This record gives sequence, C-alpha cells and structure tokens, in this order.
Amino acid sequence: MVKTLAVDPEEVRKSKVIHLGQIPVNSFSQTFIQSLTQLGKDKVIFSFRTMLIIREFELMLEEIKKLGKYQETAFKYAGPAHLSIGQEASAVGQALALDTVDIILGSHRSHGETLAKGLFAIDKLSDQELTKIFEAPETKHIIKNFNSSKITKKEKAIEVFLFGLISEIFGKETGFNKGLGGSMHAFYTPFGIYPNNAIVGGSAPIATGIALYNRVQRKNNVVIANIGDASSACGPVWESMNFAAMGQFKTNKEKKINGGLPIVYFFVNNFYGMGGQPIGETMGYENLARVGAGINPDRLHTEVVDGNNIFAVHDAITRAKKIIAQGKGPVLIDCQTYRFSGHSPSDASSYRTKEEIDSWRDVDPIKILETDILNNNLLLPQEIEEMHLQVKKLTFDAFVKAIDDKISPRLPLHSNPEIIGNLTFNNTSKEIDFSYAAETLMDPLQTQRVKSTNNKSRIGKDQNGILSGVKAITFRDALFEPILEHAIHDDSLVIYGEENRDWGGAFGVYRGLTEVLPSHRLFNSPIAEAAIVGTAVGYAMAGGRALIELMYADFIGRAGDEIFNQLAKWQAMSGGILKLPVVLRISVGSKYGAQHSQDWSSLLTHISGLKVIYPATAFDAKGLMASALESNDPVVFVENQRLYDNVETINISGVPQEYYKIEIGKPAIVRAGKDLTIFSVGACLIRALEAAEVLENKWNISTEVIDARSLVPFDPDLLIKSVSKTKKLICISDACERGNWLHGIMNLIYEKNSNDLENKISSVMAPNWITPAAEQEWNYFPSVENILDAVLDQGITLLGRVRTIQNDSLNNFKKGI
Amino acid sequence: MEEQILTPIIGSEDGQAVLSTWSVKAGDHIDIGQIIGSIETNKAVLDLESTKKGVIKALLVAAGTEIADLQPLVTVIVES
Repeated sequence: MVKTLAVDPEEVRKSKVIHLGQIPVNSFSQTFIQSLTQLGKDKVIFSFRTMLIIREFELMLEEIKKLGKYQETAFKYAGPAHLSIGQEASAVGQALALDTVDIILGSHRSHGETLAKGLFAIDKLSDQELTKIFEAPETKHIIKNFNSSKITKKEKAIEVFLFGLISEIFGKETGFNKGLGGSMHAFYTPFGIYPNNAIVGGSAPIATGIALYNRVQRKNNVVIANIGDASSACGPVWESMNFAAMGQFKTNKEKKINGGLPIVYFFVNNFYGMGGQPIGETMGYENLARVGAGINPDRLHTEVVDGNNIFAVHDAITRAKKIIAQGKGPVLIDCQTYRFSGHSPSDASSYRTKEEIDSWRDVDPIKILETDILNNNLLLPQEIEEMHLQVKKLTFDAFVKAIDDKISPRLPLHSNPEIIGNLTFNNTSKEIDFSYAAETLMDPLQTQRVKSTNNKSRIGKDQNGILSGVKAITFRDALFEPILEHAIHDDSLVIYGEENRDWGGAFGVYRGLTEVLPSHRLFNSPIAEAAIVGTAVGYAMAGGRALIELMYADFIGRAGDEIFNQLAKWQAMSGGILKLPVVLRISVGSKYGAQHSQDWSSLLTHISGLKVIYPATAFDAKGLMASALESNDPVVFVENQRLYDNVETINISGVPQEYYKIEIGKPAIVRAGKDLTIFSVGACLIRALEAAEVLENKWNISTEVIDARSLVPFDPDLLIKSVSKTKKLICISDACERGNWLHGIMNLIYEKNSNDLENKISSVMAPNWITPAAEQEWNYFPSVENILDAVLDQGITLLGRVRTIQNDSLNNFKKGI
Repeated sequence: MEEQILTPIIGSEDGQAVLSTWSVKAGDHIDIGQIIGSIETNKAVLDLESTKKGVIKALLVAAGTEIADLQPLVTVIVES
C-alpha cells in the first residue's frame, strides 16, 4: 500500500525558523494552605507518613550495609542498596496523584517509588480487595507464614508490603518475586508496580511497551517510567521517548487508536550519575528538560518540577494525566531533587562537597513538610514524634520477620539448584482460538497475497521438476500463513518492526497484512532496535503478545540490553510470575558482507532465557512459527534469507494448507542413512543434503542428515541414536567456530556415544573473521566442498578426491582467529 | 521502428515473478513512465512501467505467465 504522507519539495525547501518554545521551570506557586484545602488533611498526613516510612526503610538498609545491624539486631546483607534518602517527595508526590490501576516502573534507586505506590494503593483498596490480592496465586507466597486473617487491616497490610519488599531485597522466598530479583528488580503488579531495573534507563523501553499495550487495548491508565537523570544519555531512553511520540499515533488514517502513548517519562533528577554530573560534565544540554524539545513539537509537555515539594510533584503528575487523557501524551517531567546518601553505601561522596550536601539537607523534603504540618497545627509535635517512633517500629517488625528464616526462608537452592532453572521457561502456551474474530480491515481471502498463495501448489515439485516460487508455496509464504491466522484471531497480538507495514517487512513476509490489520496492530517502528525489543518486553509483560522483527541478525547488538537482560531474564527474575510471550524474528543475511550477513544463532543460544528456533524448510517454518506464536515464553525465530524463496522439496508431502504446529525442541531426520550422520543447523541443511546426494551417487555412501530445527531447547535423543548407528558425525553451522552452539552438542555426543564413535567428530563452521562480499561468500560459509573434506576426515575414502582446504586450527587459535 | 520493453531486474532472490495483470492492449498508445501492467513477486506487487513511447504492436506474454529478468514483454512501434 502506498503511503498517504506526501513530502512536498516546495514546503521542504522553504526558508523558515523552527521554534522550540518554552519549558516552564518550577512554575508551581500554590501555598501549603491551598494544597491542604485541595487534598484534605488525611491525604497530607498520609503522604507525610509515607515519606517517613521510605526514609526509615532506606536508613534501615544503610545501617545494615554500614554497621551490619538495624536497631541493634544484627543482620548481614551482601547485595546492593541504592538508596534514595532525600528524594522522598518525588516518589510520594507522584504516588499521591496516581490511581491504583496506574502503573509505575522504578528507577535505579527505586525502593521509595515502590513503597509510595504500594502504600497509596493499600490506602485506596478495600479490605476485601486487599485480601483477594494477598491471597492470589502469584502473591500468596509472601504471606505463607502469616496469619492471613489479620492482613485485611490496612496497617497490617502495610507491614506485609514492607516485609515483601525487604524479603525480596534480602533474597528470601517470601519476597515479591521470590528473592530472585532483589533490591533493583522488585515489583508488585497488583498495586500497579512493574519491574524496576538495574540497567540505567532500563525501565524506559519496558514502560513504553506497557503504555503501548494500554493504548492498543484501549485502557485508560497511565504509565510512569521512573528513570534517573543520567539515563538521559542512554540511547534506549531516547528511542523510547520517540517511540511513544511517533507521528503515526496522531496521523493514522483509521483513527481507531489516536494520540501519543499514555506515559510520563519521570526523570528523578538528583544531578549525579554515580559521581559524574550530567549537567555541565557528561551532557551538553545544561538542562535535562531540554531533551523534550528534541522529540516532538509539544516538547513532550516538559516541565521542570521541584522534587522536594510533594505538592509540586503531585500537581505536575495530575496535569500530565489530563494531557494524556486528551491523547496528547507522552509527557516528560524533570523532577529535580537530591540524594543525601551516596550512590551506594560504599560511596564516600568524594565527588561532592559537604557544603553542597548540607545545603540540600536544609531543604530536606521531610523537614519542609513537617514544618508546614506543625505551623498549621495539623499535628502536634508529640504526635509527630509518636509517628516517627511508630514508623521505626513498623519497619523493625517487618525487618525482624524478613530475616527470620522460619517466617521468611530462602529458596532451597543448595538442595535443589534447578529451582531457578525451572523458572527460566514457563513452557505454557495460549492456543489459537479460531472462533474469535479479531478486528480487521478486510477479509484476508480478498487480498492479493492470499489469493496468490491459495493458487499455489503446496508441494514444491511436480513431474517436470522443481516449481518456481510463484507456482508453489515458499518458505516466506509458509511463515506468513500462521502469522496471518494469529493476527486475525488474537487482538492482543501486535506486529511491528522496521518497514513492516506497507513494505511488508524487508523480505516481504508480511505482504498482504497491511490490507488486513489496523495500523495499531501492524506498524512501522522507528529504526530503533532497542525500542523495538524493549517495548515488546513491556507489551508482553502487561498481558499482550508481540511479534517483532529485527531486519538483520547483525542488528541484535543495537538491542543488546533489551534482548540479553530484559527479554531473556524477566521470567526468571520475576520468580516465574511474569510471562513474556514475544516472538523476535531475526533474519540471517546473505550477499551483504560483514555487517549484514553474519549468523549469530550461536550467540543467541548463549543467553539463558531465550528459546531459539532455526528452521530450514517451508514445512518446518510454518509449524514452528505457529508454535512460537502460541508460546508464552520468549522465542527468537531465526530465518536465513537464502531460504525465503525456497519451495518445499524436502518434505515430500509439502506444506499443509491447514494450521499445524511442530514441537519446539525436536530435531528431525531429513534423510535416512547408515554410514555417516551429518547434523545441520539452519540453512546449512540445503548444503548437507546436497553433499549427501553427492556421497550417495558418487561413492555409494549412505548419509543420515539431521536438522536441528530448534537450538534451545534441544532434545538430543534422535542425534544420539543416529550416531549409535552410523558411528560417524559431522556437524555444520553458518555461525563462527568460536563459541559455536555445536561445540556443546559435540561434547554431549562424546559423552553419550563414547563407545560408538569411530573418529573424532568433524565440524564445519564459518571461520572467526568477517563475512566477505557476496561473490566470495562460499569461501567463508560452509560449502558442499567443505563437507566432503570433513567426510575425508572421518576416515572415509572418497576415491579420486583430495582435501581442498587445509585447516590450521591450532595456529588460528594462537592467532585469535 | 520496433523495440521491446523488458522485465526489469527485480532483485528477488532468483528473479521469480509473474506478469499478473496488463492494463494496456495491442494498439494502445503508451508513453515513457506509463504504468502498463503489474508484476507480482513473492515479496511485492510492482508496477510495470513503460520504457518506450509509441504504439503497442504486441503483448508478448499473457497475464499470469511466469517471467524472467530482462525477458521481452511488449513490442512497441516507437515514435521517432
């Protein structure tokens, strides 16, 4: 489909000036009395007490880290503690303006944000609602040793919440996420608290994905991405802000889903990274807020807010929510505050002066509010004193329970170390519901793509030989078919990536989908791989299902953190509470040289938490894509561009028209044989089969060819049995030799088939250097000739053939290549 | 003088394509750049643009025919 956004040269070439407009700084001018009148005494007191709880909570951790005790009770805690002492007003002011259904994601120092959101949720929820939440399957592990009848009382609920957070920080099974997240990854979704992140700015893409979910699913709640000021230098943060502000949210012609994403980028600006200062040292902007002006004409409605004044923060968030409700988000808030504590307890604050710290202590947000409360007779001095003591007791009670191994045990990893391993994947799926009709723009049967596909032969050859890709179903068509089925039967599925709409993806897999799917469910992302993957993580975390694409495998580095730390780790880090149904399509290029043709499949298998699929036939592509789309685990679906135009000639019954699935993790015998086994990964299968054919025809050697199909998980039984029979094994892969996934397989076969193997296993892999230009590719990737050389290495005589290439692996090892 | 309009080099992996529709017929006058038909590859449906100005003498393939890169598709009596 052709775009409707015209690019007019006359307009483009006009002389003009771009006006960036103004960004308000500390515009809040309400007096305390005005705020009190607006909010009421109870809320003000509750906010004050919440600030005290946060302060005491952080002081507890500081005392434990520095002195090994809290209130004279010894406890040793080895993990991190990034404290937010001094920043309480920014967290509480924010929570004061949010509803329970609104969602926050925490910053690098997130205890305060988590506590504030949690305590305000407890305040708003009824006893029955709280009981239901605490006893829900995902959260009841926290209270398993509590007397639950008492938890309905709000004060007890606060203690349980503190206990859950402290337990999580101390790595206890009764922590929010079973102690597997810890200080920097705690979350509690029933109160709208989604994961915090140890990666600076890591919350930005995930929060943006949750906001995408809320928009696509037409929910009204807002998302707050709490991120630190130093994260304003991070690419994924910029990518996220741009993603949320994409023009298409305002211009999409269907007008079904309109407006920028409902998210606030809440920069908790304490003026320091660890010790580096964004303003004046590591950034050029002089004011963080300036970045808003670079994103869209609304300047993201950016404001600089006094983060030591809860009422200023409350006011800013309240107005941000109104902007978002009008479809005019996203919003950026530069919330300026200060941490009195170091970056962590070991921080000697050598990078700042005592005078500076003292000057901020003079405007301690707790002191400011306490003075206002006293001056206006909301509380008497002794009542405040009692409140301080009561908060200390509350914190101590939760602390004592959290360190008590009877009430708060650790996961028994010593006796059962696989507990974490078993949380890596949920191994569940959501079956396609063919009876459900998702929102579509037209009947897919009426699209040219489906009409053409339906006219094609399902088998790739006839009596005259192999059919062309316009006459028979190709690998590309085989991928399209299950994707279309899921798209038209599941409204929660969104599909995006670079050039996915109109173009249909760079390799045309989605051709025809643009006509069928509304633009909020199939859209072009910016060229921003971190945002593509990171938002998919958030979208899935919130309850959706995402099919995303990185155009070339070589681009995974651009989404490194989002693939390696976020997509791969959150299921286990959440103690199995979160599910991440994301299918990440990655294509391995060909003919495009070093930065567009590398097979990174082995690298992906190194990352714990990703299922990795790599089909080589159209039949497998269809069945495995269906399984991937039904999976509730993150799946990386590797496609090799050499295969897109291939018709099905390997599976003789062709590609069935109806929907079917192939189990992830099961290899297949593609050609049966008895003299030799070739084990192939991905597109190498075509060359393996060609070599087997040559061996059969020229030398009467019977070769069994096994296609891995899935790399993670992988069931090796078929391969072990094959090697037991043939006693010879050659492994081939287009991925580089060093760290190749096949080395693990080879080790396993050495172990399991130690009495069977007649020779050492031969391997044919790409060398440890760059992919050359198109014309030279076959001097790099494993070729049929290389495979035949490996057959010679197996001690098999191939009459008339001598080795074509000599490998000097020892010397290459020394040279590092 | 007679000249031919050829299939463009489509850039698909193996040049697989079908001349899916004709929007002109023999006897029609065509101009350079005019869309005279469509080509469907596995990746996309592409417009076939005329590279000649003149009168069509003959369409050399029927709609629905598989075509190769640089294959003659149309004979045109070109205008001088």
